[in-house]
Amino acid sequence: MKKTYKVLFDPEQVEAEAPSGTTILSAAAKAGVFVNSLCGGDGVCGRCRVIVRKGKTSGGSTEFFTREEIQQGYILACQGRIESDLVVEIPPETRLAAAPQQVESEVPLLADPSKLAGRGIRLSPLVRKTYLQLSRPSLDDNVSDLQRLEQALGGAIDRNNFQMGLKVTRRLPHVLRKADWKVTAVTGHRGPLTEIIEIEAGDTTKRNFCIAADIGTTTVVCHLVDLRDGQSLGRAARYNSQVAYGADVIRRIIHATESPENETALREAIVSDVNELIRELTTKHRLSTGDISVISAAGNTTMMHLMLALPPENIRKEPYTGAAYHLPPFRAAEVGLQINPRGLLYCLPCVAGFVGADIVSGIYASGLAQSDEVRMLIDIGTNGEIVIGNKEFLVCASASAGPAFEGAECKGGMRATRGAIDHIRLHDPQRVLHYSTVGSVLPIGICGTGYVDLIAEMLRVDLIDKTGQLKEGVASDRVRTGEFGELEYVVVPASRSGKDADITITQGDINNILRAKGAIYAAASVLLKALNMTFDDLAEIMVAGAFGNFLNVGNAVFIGLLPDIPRDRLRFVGNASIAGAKLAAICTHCYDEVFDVAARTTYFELSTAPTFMDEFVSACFFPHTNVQLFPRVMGELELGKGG
Amino acid sequence: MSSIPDVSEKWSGQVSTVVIGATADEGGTRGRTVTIGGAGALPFLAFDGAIGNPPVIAVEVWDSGGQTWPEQLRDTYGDALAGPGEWAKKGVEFGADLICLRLMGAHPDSGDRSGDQCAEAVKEILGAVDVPLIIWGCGVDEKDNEILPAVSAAAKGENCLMGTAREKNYRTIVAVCLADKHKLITESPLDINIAKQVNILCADAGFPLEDTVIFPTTGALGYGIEYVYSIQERGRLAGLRGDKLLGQPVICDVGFEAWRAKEAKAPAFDTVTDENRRQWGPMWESATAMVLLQSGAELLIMRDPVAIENTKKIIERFTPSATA
Repeated sequence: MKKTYKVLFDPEQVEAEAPSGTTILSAAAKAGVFVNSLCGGDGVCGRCRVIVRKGKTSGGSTEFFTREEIQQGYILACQGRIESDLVVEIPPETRLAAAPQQVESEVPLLADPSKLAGRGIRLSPLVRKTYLQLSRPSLDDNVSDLQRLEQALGGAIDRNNFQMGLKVTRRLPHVLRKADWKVTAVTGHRGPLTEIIEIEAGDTTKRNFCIAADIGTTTVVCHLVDLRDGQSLGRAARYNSQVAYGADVIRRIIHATESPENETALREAIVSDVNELIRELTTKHRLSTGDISVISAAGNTTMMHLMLALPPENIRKEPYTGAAYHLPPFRAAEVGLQINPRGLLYCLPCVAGFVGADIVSGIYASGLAQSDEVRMLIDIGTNGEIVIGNKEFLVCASASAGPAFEGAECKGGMRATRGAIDHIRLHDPQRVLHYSTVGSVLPIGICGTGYVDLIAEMLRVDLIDKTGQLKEGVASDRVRTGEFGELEYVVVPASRSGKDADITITQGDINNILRAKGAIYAAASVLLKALNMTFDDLAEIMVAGAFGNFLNVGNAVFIGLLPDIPRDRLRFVGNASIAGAKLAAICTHCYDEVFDVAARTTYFELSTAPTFMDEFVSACFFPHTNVQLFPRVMGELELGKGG
Repeated sequence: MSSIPDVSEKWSGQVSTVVIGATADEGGTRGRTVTIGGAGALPFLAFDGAIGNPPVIAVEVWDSGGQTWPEQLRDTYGDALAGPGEWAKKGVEFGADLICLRLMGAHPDSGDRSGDQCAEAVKEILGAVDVPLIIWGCGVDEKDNEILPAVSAAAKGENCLMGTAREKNYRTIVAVCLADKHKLITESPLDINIAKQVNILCADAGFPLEDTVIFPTTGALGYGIEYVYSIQERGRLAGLRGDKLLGQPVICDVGFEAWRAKEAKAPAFDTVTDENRRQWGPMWESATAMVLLQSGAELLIMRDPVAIENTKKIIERFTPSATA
C-alpha cells in the first residue's frame, strides 16, 4: 500500500489527498482545482506550470523553464510526482485559461465587495421593479387607479414624485383589473422624479436586467447585470463596426458630417453592434430582450454623439465643443436599442470633446474621485486618457494612441476572445517558451496583453533593439521578409496554430505599439509636469483598458508603457469604464455621483502643450530615451546581458 | 564690505575626450593626433569650469565629384580637386587639423563607386597627408553598409573617426569601428531625443560611449541655424548636467551646409557687386561656424580657406589660455 500525502493548492486553499507517485495534475483534477493543460498530461504543451512551495516532488523540471524558474520551484504539474506533503501554487498563467467564463464577467475593480460598501455603494438600481398587491377600489376608497398605484408604490419604495406617461396611463385600468390588482411597477430614476415606466401584470420582479455598455472607438463591450443582486451574468464584446468608416474618431466625424446618409450609417452601425451584443447575451442566458429594462452606457464623446444622432462636427473643430455632455435618460427604443420597449437608456456624462463618459465612468469606478492621496488613472484605448487627481481635484488629458493595444490594426491582432494569445514568454530568439490563449485553444492571433508580453520578451531576448527594429540574423528561422517587403517575426507557425497561416508580428505592428505606448507615456508625463509633479508623487497608478484579460504590469513597465515605479504602486483595474457604467446602473446614488465627477473634471488640452511632441519622441523608444527614468528595467537588462 | 558673490555655474557632467588619429608609436602613420572634448562648462566660459580642448577644423575632401562644387570653391582649390590625395594636401595647406573624407562618389546617384574604390581613396589620402582622418559615408544605408567595411579595413590602425551611425542603420558601422578600432559619429535629425537614442543603440551594440562624437545635423546661417543652435545647446546643457548619453563632443558639417545657401553663391545684384561678391561665401561659412562654436561644437568640417582662417582667429581670441 502506497503512502498517501496531502497536497494544498494555493491560492484556492483546496486540499487533496493522493498516493505517493501521483502527478500533481491528477491530484489537482481530483480536488477540482483547475490547472491549464493542452496536451492532457503528455508533458509537451508546457501549460501546466505550477510552483512547488513546500515539499518534495520528482520529475517535472523540464526545458520549458528557465534556470531562475527552476530555482523558484516551477515544475510541470503533469510530470511532477508527489513524494511528500506539498504546498503547490497555481500561478496566474496556469489559472488564467480556465478563467474566462468566471473571471471575465466581473471586472477586477468590482471583485472586492467590501470596498464597494465602504463607498456608499448599495443596491438601488436605476430601474426597479416593485411587486404590489393593491386593495380593490370600493365606495369607501374610490381614488383613481393611478393614485391607488402611487400610494402603494410610494409606501413600498419611499418615493413620492411620480410621473407616468400617457400610454401607460391609458392601459393602467385594464392592466390592474386583468391582473386582479397584483402588478409589478417598473420605475425609473429621473432625478427628483420617479417615472413609472410600465405596469406589468403579476410578479415580474425576477426579470429585471440591465446592460452596462462601454462604447469604444474600436471595441464595444456589454455586461449583462442582474438588477436583483447587482451581479454580472456575462459579458460580450465585439469590434465597433464603424471601423469601416475610419479607425479614429476624427475620420468618423468627417465621414458623418459629409451627408445625412453617412451619419445614419454610422448611427446604425453602432446601434446594431449594441443590439447584437444584447441579443448574444440574452440568448445565452435565456432571457427575452423585454427582460432588459435599462441600459447604462459609457462611451467617448464622439461615440455617444453618433449613437444618439447628435451632430458631432463641432467636436473636431476648435474649440472642440460637443452638442451635449450631460443628458437625461431616454427611451432606449427611441435610439433604436432593442430592450424592453419602455426601457430607459442612461448615458453617463462627458467632460469635453475628447474626454468622454467612458473616462468619467472609469474615474468614478476606480475610486480616484474619492481618494485622499493623489493617484493617476491611465485608460488605454484607441485614445489613451490620463487622469490625475484625488477628492479635491481631477485633471484629464487625452492622447491619440491608436487601437494597437486592442489588437486592431496589427497583422496578427485580435480581441481577447477564444484563441487569442494573451500571455507569452520567449526562451531565446528561436524558441517560444510557452504561451497561453483565451479559452486554452490553439492560437489564432494576439490580443493587447499578448502584444505587451511579446514586445517585452523580444526586447529581453534581443530580437528587437530599443527602437523596436527587428534584428535580422538573430533568429533566421523566425525572422523573415513578409508581404510588402516588411520584416516580420513568426510567433507561432501555421502548423501549430489554429488557422492556416503563421501568426506573426511585423515591423509595422511593433512600430504601432511603440507609438501607442509613446503617446500614452508622453501624455502622462506632460500632464504631470503641468501639475508640477513627478511619478514619484503619485500614491498609485491604476491602469484600465479594454485589454480583455490581465495585463502583465511588469512587462508594461518593461516596454515603457507604464512608468518604472515600485510595482506595488501599479495596479491593473481592468475595464474601469464598464465597471462605472455598471455601478451607475445598480446604484442610483452612484449614478448621481458620476455627474458630480464629470462636473469636477478639468480638461487639459495636450495639443497646445508645447512639450508634448518632445515627450512623445522621447517616449518612442523601449523603454524610454531617458533610460535613467527606468532604473529597474535597465538593471534587468544589464543582468540579462551579464548572465 | 561684502564680497562679490560667486555666481559661476557648477556643472556635474563633463564632455568626454576623444582622440582621433594614431602616430607610429600607436600603430598608425599619422604625424600627430587630435584631441577634442573635455569641457566642463559652456563654450569659452572658462570662469565656470574647464573649457577642454579648443575646437578643431577638418577640411572636407571628396573621393570624387569635385566638379560639382560651387564655382568659387573650384577656383580656390584648382587642380587639387582632381584627386583626393592632392585635395587633402590643399586642405592641410589651408590649415586643416584633420581631413574629412566624404565618400560622395559611392552614392548610387553620383558614381556608385565600389568599396574597393573608396578604400583606394582612403589609402591615397593617408599617403598624401599625415593629419588624422574622418571618413564619412555617402548617407545611403545599403550602400554605406557595403563600402564602410572596406574603407574601415583600409584605415585599420589609424584610429579614424567614422560616420555615420543612424537610428535605422547603425549595426554595420558599429561592428566595423569596433573591429578596426575607429571612433564613431552618431547622427540624428535635429532631435535631442533621437541623438540620445542613437547613442543608446550603439552602446547596446557594444560601442563605448566615450568613443563617439555626436552629429546633431547642421543647418547654415539663414537655413534654420537658430533651431540647430538650440538643439545643440540643449544637448550640451543636458550633458553638462550629467546626462552621460549626451556628454560627447559635437561635430558640425559647416562647409557643406553654408555652401548650399544661395547667398553664398549669389550673383551680383543690388549692393552685391562683382567686387564683393566673392566675399559672401566665405563670410556665410564663417558666420555659420562662429554661431555653432558657441552652442558647443568641437569639430567643424569646413571648405573655404578664408572662412577657416577667420574661424581659427575667433577660436584663438575666445580661448582664454591664448589671451592670458
